[in-house]
Amino acid sequence: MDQEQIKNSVRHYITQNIFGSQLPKDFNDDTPLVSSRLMDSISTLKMINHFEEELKIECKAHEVTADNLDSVNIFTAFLLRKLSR
Amino acid sequence: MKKIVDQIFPEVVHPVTIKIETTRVVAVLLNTLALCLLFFIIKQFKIESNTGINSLPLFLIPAYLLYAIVPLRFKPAVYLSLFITCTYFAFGWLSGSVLIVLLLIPFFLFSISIPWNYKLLLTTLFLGCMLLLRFDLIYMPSVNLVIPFAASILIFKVILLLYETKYNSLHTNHWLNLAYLFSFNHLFFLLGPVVDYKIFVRSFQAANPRENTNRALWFLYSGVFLFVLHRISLAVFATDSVTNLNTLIPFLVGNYLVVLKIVATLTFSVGCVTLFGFQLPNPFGLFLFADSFKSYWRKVNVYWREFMMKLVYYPVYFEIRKKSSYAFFIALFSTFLFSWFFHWYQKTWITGLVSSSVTDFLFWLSLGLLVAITSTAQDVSIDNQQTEKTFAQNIRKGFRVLVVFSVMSVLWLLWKSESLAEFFFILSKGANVDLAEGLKIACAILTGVFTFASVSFFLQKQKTESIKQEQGTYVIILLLTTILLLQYFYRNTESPKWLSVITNPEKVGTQEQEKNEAGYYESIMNTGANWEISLKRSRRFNSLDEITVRTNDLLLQKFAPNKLLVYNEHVITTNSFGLRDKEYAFAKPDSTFRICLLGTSYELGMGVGDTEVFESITEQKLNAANPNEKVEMLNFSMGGYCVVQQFELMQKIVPSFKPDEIILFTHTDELRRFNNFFCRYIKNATDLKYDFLKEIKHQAGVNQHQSRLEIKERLLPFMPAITAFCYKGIIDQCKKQNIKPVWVFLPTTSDLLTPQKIDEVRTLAVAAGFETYVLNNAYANTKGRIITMSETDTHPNKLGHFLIAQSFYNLLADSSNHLLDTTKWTKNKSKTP
Repeated sequence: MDQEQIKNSVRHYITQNIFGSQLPKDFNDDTPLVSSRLMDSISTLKMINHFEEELKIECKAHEVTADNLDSVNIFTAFLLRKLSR
Repeated sequence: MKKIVDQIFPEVVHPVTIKIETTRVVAVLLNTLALCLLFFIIKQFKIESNTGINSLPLFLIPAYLLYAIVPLRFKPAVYLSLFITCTYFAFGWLSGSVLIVLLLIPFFLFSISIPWNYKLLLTTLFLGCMLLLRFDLIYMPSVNLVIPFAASILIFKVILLLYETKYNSLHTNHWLNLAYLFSFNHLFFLLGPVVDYKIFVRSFQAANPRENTNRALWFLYSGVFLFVLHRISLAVFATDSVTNLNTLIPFLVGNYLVVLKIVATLTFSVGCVTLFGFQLPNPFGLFLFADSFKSYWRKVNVYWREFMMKLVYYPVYFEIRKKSSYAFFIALFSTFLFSWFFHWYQKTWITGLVSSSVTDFLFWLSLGLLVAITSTAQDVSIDNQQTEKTFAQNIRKGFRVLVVFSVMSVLWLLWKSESLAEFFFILSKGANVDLAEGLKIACAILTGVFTFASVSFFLQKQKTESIKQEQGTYVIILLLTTILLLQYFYRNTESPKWLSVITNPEKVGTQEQEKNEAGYYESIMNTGANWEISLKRSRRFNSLDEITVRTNDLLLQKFAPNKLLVYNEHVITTNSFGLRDKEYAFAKPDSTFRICLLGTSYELGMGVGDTEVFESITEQKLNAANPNEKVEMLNFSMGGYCVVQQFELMQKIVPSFKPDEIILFTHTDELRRFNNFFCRYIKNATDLKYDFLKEIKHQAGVNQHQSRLEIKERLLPFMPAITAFCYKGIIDQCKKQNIKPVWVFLPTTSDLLTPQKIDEVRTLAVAAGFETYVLNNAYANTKGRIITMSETDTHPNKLGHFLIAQSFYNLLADSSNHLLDTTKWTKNKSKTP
């Protein structure tokens, strides 16, 4: 999967699971998700589980931080880094 | 030179050129003014004055001005220097240096490049040594003194630093790393936010200075406002005793709203740090209005939640997620069990006592279950759906808020209860319902829910933007100054209770004070380890134990003979009879009028030197006024003694000294104090020795296994009878030994004297046969801090004792009182060869 596909996949996941099928109007790929508390710890972990399965990667507990997950762009970059390892 | 400066003070974020603009100078001056007003309000409202907070502006305001003008790279150093100056001011050179060294040790430990396992080992060793010092197993007073402060800063930060250094490296700027450890807010509030290392260093200069200072002022003023709200809540929800559902509900609410003080403390602390450029997050959301336990957990103490998630929740989840389908539940539940452990860990460090209760554990267990169940059941997408709620939905939300608030109030009671017996005893009172009163309560609750729903619905319709922090600060300033003005307006008349307790915390009733003194956070916040105490005293607490001996009888404890102790910087010596007094001959000398004084900590002279106790001054004055007529005053007082011990002293010891007169001192609220004390006899299963006391125990139906609260409540109606019994016993002994019995009422320094308060005990004394007197103007109209040891320790200080001595001397010297019974004295004199 390339960067754009991963990003689309992340955006789709967030739309379906975090906002219940409809994104807010002011949402963009840099909108904070974790630091703004749009996502709680359970939804964050569910999202990680989902992409771990989809991309066949493995995440560690200490990687669950806003540094890696806070927006669509940040999470995409994190997944790409994981894939490249 | 520039190179050296560059090396010592590297650029923190990016180089900036300093431009002195008029608007910036005006903004800094206005902020300084706002800070001055803040500390003026703190002083006027006597907010946490026992913590030394009133000395803070001396350093904080100059430091803020300096911070505002120095280039960016020097700003962390200014923050650091504030800590250092405050430390030396508070602890002096020796202890201050010790505290700084204690904080520098982990700084070097985490800065040097050694394997992480060594860091872990050395940190454990370091904490182990600190623990030995905390429990006084290594006795070095100057070091022991600062351990609670070092502990309050380090106990969680070293854990976070260990975590950080395991996966990442520390920030390259050492000043920021030092600033993380040198947090000056811990010098006056031992309870502080557990700030994550990464959040802390990254937050530095994360916002522009104006925005940051506005945020800091918002936190500081919000903190002060919450302290005020907490005091109001104590007055509004005051309950004399819980007897039925009608009194149980305000009791539960008032009990729970003690949480406001914790919120205030943490918010104020965050404001202090934010003022110096660290843009820290708001520690609390509107958790009191949470409509689910999941929402409650997300909003209450954000710092603590993040700490627990990082250290427990995520690691546990990743460990078990492939092994169990309940991984979320187990991870969340574990988080709360570890929360219990870490609270115990914190309490042990701060109080220096290893103690935990079943109620403490059950509180975290219950909260953990509630949060874990609701969190795993509720989908986050439901929270984030931005559909407009109808009024009916808002009403439903109102009821959900009510349920969460009620459950948390009950859980909070569980947390604060000494035992499960006490918890259930209080709750059982709710079974007594009066139908009319019950209807009133139901109406009040429904009105509350309807109001909540209406406000919520209105705000939703208006799509009101949240108030900006700057405007919020103005609103709080306006409210606080209005309260000050109202206080001024009511200065000559009786003001409403809620208003008077804001500026006079001592007016908070005894029941509320007791309520406020119990519980987890209170034990941390009221350890006595604070500036005012630390400044001038060493080993302030429990040190009297060193010169007292426990007795296995009704006295419970007494002084050991011939001991000397420096207590609160004053010398306490005991004579060969185990009295805090000078040496006397056992046999009464001829031509001497001997008085035995029976009292408590006031008469003992807690907090003043041997020669400054009013008993000692009065004795000297009497002898100086009439050198030919010698008066001896033997002080049989002991801290905590009540009428039972005084009665026991009269049975066992006092008559052997052949006194001519005994003077029994009594204070305000004697029966309540006595009730508390008698409860100790029951809990300790002390042999009550006298049939009458045993019969009272039987009639009250009290036993060692009941909660203190239940014992006290059952015993309270018997207090006048026990007092009368003891008074009669004293009088009988006096008659037998030909001793004149005198009863003196000495008001306490914080007394709001009412005739009823005096009469409730005086009538018993008169009925028994005492000659009674009231030292009405014992403090010569002097009130407050000037005559007390401190804001919280209301024992009279040197001036207080001097004033009591004047009053007491006048009472004794007044010949119309015949207190120095000259006939008896003459009789003795006539025996002189």
